[in-house]
Amino acid sequence: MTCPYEKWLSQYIDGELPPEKRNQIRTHLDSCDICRTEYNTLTGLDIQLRSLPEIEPSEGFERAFWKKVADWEERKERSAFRAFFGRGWRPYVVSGMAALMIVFGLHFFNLAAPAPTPEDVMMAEQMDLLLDYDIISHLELLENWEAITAVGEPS
Amino acid sequence: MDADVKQMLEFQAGNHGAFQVLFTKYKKKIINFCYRFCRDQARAEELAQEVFLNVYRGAANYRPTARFSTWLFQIATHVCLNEMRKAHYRHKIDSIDAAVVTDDGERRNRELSDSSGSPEEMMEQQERETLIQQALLSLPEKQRLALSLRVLNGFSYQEIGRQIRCSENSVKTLIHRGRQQLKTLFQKRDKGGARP
Repeated sequence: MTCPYEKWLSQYIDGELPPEKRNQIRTHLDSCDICRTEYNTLTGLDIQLRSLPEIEPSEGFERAFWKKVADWEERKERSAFRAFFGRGWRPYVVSGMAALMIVFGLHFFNLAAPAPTPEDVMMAEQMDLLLDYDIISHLELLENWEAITAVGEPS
Repeated sequence: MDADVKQMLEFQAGNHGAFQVLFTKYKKKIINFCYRFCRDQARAEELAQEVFLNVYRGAANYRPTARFSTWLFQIATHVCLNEMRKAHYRHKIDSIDAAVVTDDGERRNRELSDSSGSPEEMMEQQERETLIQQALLSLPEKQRLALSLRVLNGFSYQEIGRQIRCSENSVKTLIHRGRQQLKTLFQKRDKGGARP
């Protein structure tokens, strides 16, 4: 046997019914054996659940918690440090490496070039003289300079 | 304003003493809430530490939109749900052994809550506690959560809805069904001597 009011009992026990409905159920409970039995069973269940013994925090509980907090704080600081330098130092390292590569590249390029021969050295030392060599080899032109410049002039 | 909310806002502003006040006030409640789901004191304490660590870390994002305890148990619910979904807890529901792990790591049967009375009474008491605990564990996880939050921690349907992320109507149904299921389990046990 069931009663249509039974479905309201759980909410009634929890105080979750509007005042009008709550009064209606309270009145109904006085006259309905089915609902009264159900009400007693359900409240009995609640009492049994609440009677379960509680455990006490162990002695090390708080210490272990603060250790976890300290570990977390440390990790947070470390990751903040890494985040800052993780973004900041890379361009500097990359450009430094590139500069080093260029310096070493030039150095090895020079090493690969053949060493100057004694003739090269002599030629370098007498470069000024050699530059004047064209003029020296054509000195005869200067002897006839007047005749040359007179060519083409109206007589 | 809720006094706990005030403490939390003070902690948010940098007062670490305010966090200590909340931690001291709620640590036992949270450990016991977690214990109802894993039945292992050491694990329950680890879960409770995770809950408080979430509070500590999440302080910057805290907004006082409800009672502090509603928010705290919302975090605890989330932590316990994650724990319960781990496969190794499923077999525990079928186990009748209510063992606890002591501070020194020793595993032993739970001490009786009431040490007075004859050995027979004490045994009966222990068996009754085990049966209630096991009956609770046999409920579907959301029913168990809703019932625990209501009966053991006194939250309203609205607050539970927020904590387990469902409507107030769903909470009403979960609690009603949870009670009916517990009733059926106990009636079966009383009739046939079968354990729930």
